[in-house]
Amino acid sequence: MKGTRRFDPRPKIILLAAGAVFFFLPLRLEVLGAGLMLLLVPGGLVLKTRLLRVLSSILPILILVALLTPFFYRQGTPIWQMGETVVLTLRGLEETGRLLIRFTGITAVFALFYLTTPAERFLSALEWYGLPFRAALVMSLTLRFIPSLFTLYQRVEDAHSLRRAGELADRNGFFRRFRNLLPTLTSVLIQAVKKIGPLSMSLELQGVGLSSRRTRFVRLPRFRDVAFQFLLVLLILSLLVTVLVIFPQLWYNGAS
Amino acid sequence: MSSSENSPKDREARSRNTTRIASLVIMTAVTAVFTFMIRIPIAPTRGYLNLGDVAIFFSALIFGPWTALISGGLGTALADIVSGYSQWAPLTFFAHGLQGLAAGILFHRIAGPEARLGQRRTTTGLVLAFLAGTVIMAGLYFAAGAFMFGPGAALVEVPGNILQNVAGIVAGTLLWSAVKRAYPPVTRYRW
Repeated sequence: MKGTRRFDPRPKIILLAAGAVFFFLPLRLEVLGAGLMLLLVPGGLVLKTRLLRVLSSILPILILVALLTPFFYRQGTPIWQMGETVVLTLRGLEETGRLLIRFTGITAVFALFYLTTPAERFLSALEWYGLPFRAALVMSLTLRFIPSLFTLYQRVEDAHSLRRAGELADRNGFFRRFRNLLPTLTSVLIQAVKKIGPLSMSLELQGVGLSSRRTRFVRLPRFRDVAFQFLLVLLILSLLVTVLVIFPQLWYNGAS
Repeated sequence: MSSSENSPKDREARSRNTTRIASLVIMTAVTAVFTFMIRIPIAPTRGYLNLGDVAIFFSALIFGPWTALISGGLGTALADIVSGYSQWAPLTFFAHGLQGLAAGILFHRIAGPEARLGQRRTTTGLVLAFLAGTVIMAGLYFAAGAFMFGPGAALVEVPGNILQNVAGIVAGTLLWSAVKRAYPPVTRYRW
């Protein structure tokens, strides 16, 4: 785990983009499956149950895809016919496999990235790629405000439930629950909006908007210190592209 | 700080800028909290209704289209990342961001700055904001879902997304009216 966190987020972003694109390429099912395995096996070894937890969250949608997709394809070699009507074809099964691998692959690529990259390093990497300072500032301040706003929500909810304990005893029904939530949300929003003034003043006092050079809390290593990691990533990607260009039989030709 | 940056005009511009940043930060955090922490269970399906769309419509009505674009997109995308659905984050950013932008533009163009509940043009603005927001959000999710895991499974998600939008516009409108009445200075944050 430590090793994956030491891997610089800047070349990791290139891998993330390449991984997401790979699963959309019209390749043969076996090639996509091998790509998925290359992600899941080392990923599973490093992240263990954390990756499994992410993948289990997409299980309902995978089941839905497996049940619905095969019947959308009538072309190709029939496998199951009811009278004259073709119900299931080989093409339908192949497309289902493709969609299952694609969705699992994209989920795994993003999960591997976010589970091994701390948010502040990710933001610094985005800044390195050209994300404006103000956008990065908004994102990092938001990450700091989320826990405080959630605590505020809990306090307001507690205060409201103390005031109307009898009313809230009967909380059944979606609309009643929804209606009961509105006074709490109103109070939370007013308290949240009231924070805008002090936050704005504090930003101004800290010199946000001035032309002077900003200091950084998180500093990424110099490019030359991680050049080897960039080189490694580019080498892997070039190798992959070369293999896909040299062997056209790896591409899906649509015949089944 | 150079002397040219200390003129009253520059100070005013800087203050406006920091207020915008602060309102974006607070509304993005509110959207993220409403999306992944406040959930109302729906008994028949055992699913959940999250309140992210409530925050987006509220931002669009109170703060205007630009805050709704950024806080809607970023807040829901952060919520996706934190709750383990990071594969949806890029799509969520665009779908919810554009939903907020469209709702904000239409509402403020039609209802105007003095909008109040009960006015005809306010109602028209709200209906059009809801329709535009729903078509953009549900449409983008459907298109991306169809591309990623086929039209069959993508179609199943459409009613849930429409329900989210209905809850969003209903609660968002009630909150817009209540917050404006209880804390009138909120209107000065619109841009």
